[in-house]
Amino acid sequence: MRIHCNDEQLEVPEDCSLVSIIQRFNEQEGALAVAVNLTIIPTSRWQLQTLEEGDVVDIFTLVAGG
Amino acid sequence: MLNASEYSRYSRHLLLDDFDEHAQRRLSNAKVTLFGVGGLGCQVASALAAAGVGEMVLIEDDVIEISNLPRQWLFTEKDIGQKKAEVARTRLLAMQSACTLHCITNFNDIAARDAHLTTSQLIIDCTDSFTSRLAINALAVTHSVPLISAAASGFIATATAFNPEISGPCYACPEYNSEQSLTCFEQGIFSPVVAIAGQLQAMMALSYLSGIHNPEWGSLHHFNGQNLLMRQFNIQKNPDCPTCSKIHRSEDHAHSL
Repeated sequence: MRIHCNDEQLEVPEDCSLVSIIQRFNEQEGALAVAVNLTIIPTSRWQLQTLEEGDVVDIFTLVAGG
Repeated sequence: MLNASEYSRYSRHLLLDDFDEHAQRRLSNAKVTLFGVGGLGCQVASALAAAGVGEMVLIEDDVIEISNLPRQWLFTEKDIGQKKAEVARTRLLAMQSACTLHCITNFNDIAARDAHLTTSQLIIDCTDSFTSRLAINALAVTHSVPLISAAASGFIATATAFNPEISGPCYACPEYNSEQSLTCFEQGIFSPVVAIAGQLQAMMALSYLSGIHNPEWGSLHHFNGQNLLMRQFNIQKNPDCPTCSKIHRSEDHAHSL
């Protein structure tokens, strides 16, 4: 199936988990925010979150300065 | 309702759609507690005082350093070594003498802080670490006061409003890995980016306090200063949140007794 992650189109297996996508894209240091279809998913739910055809995943580093 | 001087001063507000004398009066009757008077806090405090917010509490124990001056525009070279909260108070009063400004320069003065929180309509988090943001979020949930939180590092700015009085998420719901947070010390900060984050907070605060419209509670606004893109994400409420689920559960339990 096809999904989009950080503006890239990906071909992934039907049983693809959110965690596998995060591991593939996580090259940056820092606290991550991960959104599926513009909803930020709690870290403890990444393992259980399944993906569907056409899902849009955004992975970004959350900043804390001020 | 407004006197002649106020009417003249706030005339450009009064020309806005949905903004009338009642909205301006709601600002002058509002009380806000602001944590942190750094890059974010200078922006928020200036915007709120200038717009006519009647009472603000500035909580900050830091002193002014030369490295603050590129983005903390309430301060000048002559202020280096002075307490940020006290210098900010002087500058804000020069801008808006009608504003009542309280300073707390000791974070351990919990009695003074909590006394102000119980009478505040809004908490604005302008601090600079995940640790402080989580602690302030817990205060907002405990005291059931809406919270506007923002952050900035490098070229990224974020801002979110939370309301404990509705069953939405809180700042702790995403369970970010706070041990890996990036701050201005690691990443640096581009001055306009922190100004944009602070002004997003000010925009949400003034809209809410004046009653012209509520912020979208639980929406994370994300700005990238390198391509000028603004994006919006919804934060999912976490039923196992280490902060708000405990408070809500204890309330639910109390209601069931």
